[in-house]
Amino acid sequence: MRVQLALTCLVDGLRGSTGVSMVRVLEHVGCEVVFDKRQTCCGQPAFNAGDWTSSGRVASAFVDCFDRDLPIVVPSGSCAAMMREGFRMLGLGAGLRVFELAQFLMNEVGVEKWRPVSRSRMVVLHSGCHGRMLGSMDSLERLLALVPNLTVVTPETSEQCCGFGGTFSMSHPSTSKGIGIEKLYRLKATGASEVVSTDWGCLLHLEGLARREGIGLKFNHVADVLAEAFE
Amino acid sequence: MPGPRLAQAQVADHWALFRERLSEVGGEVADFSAVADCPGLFWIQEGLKGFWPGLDLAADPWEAMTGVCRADMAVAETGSVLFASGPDQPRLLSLLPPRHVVLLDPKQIEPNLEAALARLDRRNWAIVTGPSRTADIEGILVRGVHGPRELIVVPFPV
Amino acid sequence: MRSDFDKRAERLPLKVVDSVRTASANKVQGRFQAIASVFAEYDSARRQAAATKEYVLDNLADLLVELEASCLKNGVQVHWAEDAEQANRLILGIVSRAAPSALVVKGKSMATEEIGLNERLIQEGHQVVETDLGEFVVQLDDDVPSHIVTPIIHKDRTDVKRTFESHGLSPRSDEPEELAAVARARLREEFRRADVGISGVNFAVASSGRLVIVENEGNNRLSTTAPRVHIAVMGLEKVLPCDTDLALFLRLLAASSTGQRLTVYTHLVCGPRRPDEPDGPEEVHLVLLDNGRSKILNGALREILKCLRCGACLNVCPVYRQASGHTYRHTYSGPLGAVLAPGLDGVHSHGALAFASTLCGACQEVCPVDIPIPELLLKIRAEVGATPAAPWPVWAWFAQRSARWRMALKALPMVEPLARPWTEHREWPEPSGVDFRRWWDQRP
Repeated sequence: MRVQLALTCLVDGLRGSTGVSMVRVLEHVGCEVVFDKRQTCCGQPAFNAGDWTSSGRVASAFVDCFDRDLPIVVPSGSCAAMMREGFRMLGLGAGLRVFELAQFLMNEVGVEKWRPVSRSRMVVLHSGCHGRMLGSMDSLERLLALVPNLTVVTPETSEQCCGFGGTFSMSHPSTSKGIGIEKLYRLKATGASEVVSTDWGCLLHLEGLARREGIGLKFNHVADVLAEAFE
Repeated sequence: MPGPRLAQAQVADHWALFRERLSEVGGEVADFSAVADCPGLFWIQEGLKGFWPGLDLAADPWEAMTGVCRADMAVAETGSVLFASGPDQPRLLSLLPPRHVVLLDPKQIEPNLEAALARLDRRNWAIVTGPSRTADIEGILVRGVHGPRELIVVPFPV
Repeated sequence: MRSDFDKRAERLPLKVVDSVRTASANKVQGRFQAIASVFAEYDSARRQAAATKEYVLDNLADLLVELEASCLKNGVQVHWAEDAEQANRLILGIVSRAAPSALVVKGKSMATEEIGLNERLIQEGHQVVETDLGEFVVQLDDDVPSHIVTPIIHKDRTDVKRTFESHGLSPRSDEPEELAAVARARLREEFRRADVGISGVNFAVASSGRLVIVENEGNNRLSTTAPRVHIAVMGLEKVLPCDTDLALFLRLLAASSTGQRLTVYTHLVCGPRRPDEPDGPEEVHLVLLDNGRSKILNGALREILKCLRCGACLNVCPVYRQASGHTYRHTYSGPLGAVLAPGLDGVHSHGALAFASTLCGACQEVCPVDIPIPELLLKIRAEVGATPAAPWPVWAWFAQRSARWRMALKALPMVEPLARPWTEHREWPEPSGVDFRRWWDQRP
């Protein structure tokens, strides 16, 4: 199956390693990965901030980089949701077939097993909220449960958001922090020392807070965890 | 207002579910004889007073400790009893006294809300599902805020 | 730029945040259990309810005319109020006719909070007593509710005891049981003496004229039964077509709002006391309140008019839990309020609330009528526009071309000073050191 990789800004700018992991994971399940280097941002930041004109310009340039007939796989539930719901509201890109990675592997590829990862350990999941819009809240949990040497736990009140919310974390920094700290305590309370999620947005926010507050947790993207199997 | 005639087995099923759901919401079922043992002054619906000739009746309804009336209907699914306003059914009787005793003919129990609502006429109806409660303070359940603290259903006729 | 909302939220005492968070979490749990035990097929129940509400909005004018006719037939007097001022004047007229300086007892009603009815009645020489336990405390405090269902969610038992004591009520302890008993004793006399009872309306049935009021304490029923006059105040959108629609909505409301199978009291008001009846109000008035609703009906936020006021979206909202209701500075708080407040009063007065959301979607997930709240919030944001506006066109200029975008991403560490609101609370992320595009170009 040919799939198109949508890299996302955070991976493009800060977490290139996750892009590499995405390619390795997708190729491992038999996909041929297409990456159009013209792609930039999906337009979500301006869309959420209320500037739909700027967002629309960026989003339509983004849409032009993709083939409507091939599935698009994204290392972020929130960007995937933008490409589905946001583009619809902007009047663009109806018909794009967009999937967040865990959702794609579970529901489209139908992955049934995975190799052991480099180190046996317990990880705690943070299911990004945009899974709600994608109808894939449980795919991360089902996916990581396939990894033989991972013990997967979920925190209490797992339905609660981490407080990132993109531009919300800038316009409402103190509220965002309060929600994030509550989430960190719930994650920490599981006894796991590593948090795994589908979104670098949530993860960088939580990581930044944890480092500032001295809460000992590590943060990892699901693609990077899965790619450990091929090291 | 009699509903359609029900088979005995159906009546028994409705009663069993009603009883279970009533107890879930904090109501109780008691025998006819238990009424007379309630302490304090009574407010008894017209037409029922003859059953308990010796009881002390409150001159002022606001002073009554126990209200006794018939239910006009009930709902098994929710454990609710229904009252329709009328000449012998004061609306306040089911509300003012801290203990509310309800005589319920098991044949008057409808299986669910839909069936009960379909039978409502143009009177003022109240659907009462358990004793009065609040959880306004710290989410802690307290019974008997403004309405009755106890809701006791007596099958009648037995 | 940092919002005023965030500044207000930051000033909240930790104790308030704890109260709200704990109570909300319990309510989320209660709702979850109730829905599991009440509904065999919750999704289809929810779809059916949403479809009925859609029908109501499509036919609102006709249904209201039908409701008016049914009410008149039942002996209920119907009044139409275009805005808060008209509603207050109407109600004031009814109250003043009942008694020159009337004692008014009130059941919980968000519509009357919305129009500021209490202040108006008091100004004109009437006495108004809120009788719902939470609302009673709010009134003693000269406060406003912080939650549409649980008005004192921001307070704990010691706060309530202190409030009572400062008003000459002497609870023997701070046990909720004792506090409720004190309120009960105090309010009994008011119910008995009251001239007028005012309530809200949860549902009004067009075909039968039945006004449906739900509650748990019994104060609403006392307020609408004991006094000589009952005034019911209802937002236009609360109308339902038929009695047969009620069962579904009563179940959804009880389960979503308080985790019950059914609320303790469901009153189906079908008119004033008949000549042969021993009690009940001699007059029943229905005030149909528009106050911005017909404007919402014809605009982009129309779907918010499906709202049942169950409060489930507040309970589950991470921002509401952190900020509590008062931070929203409007009668309606939480996700619902963030849409309804700008809808009713205009985006220019409360549009900023739409930005007080992470858009996590939990609100829509728990909504019993599936209102797409995140989408409505986004529409409000688009109408208000970004603040500050300037960075976004610049951002768009860079992000429209990959070469420019690459430059901008390389410069990311340099924009750190612009990210002060972020770095004030968080460490700036360290790059992974891998450049994906270079790796992609170089792979064999």
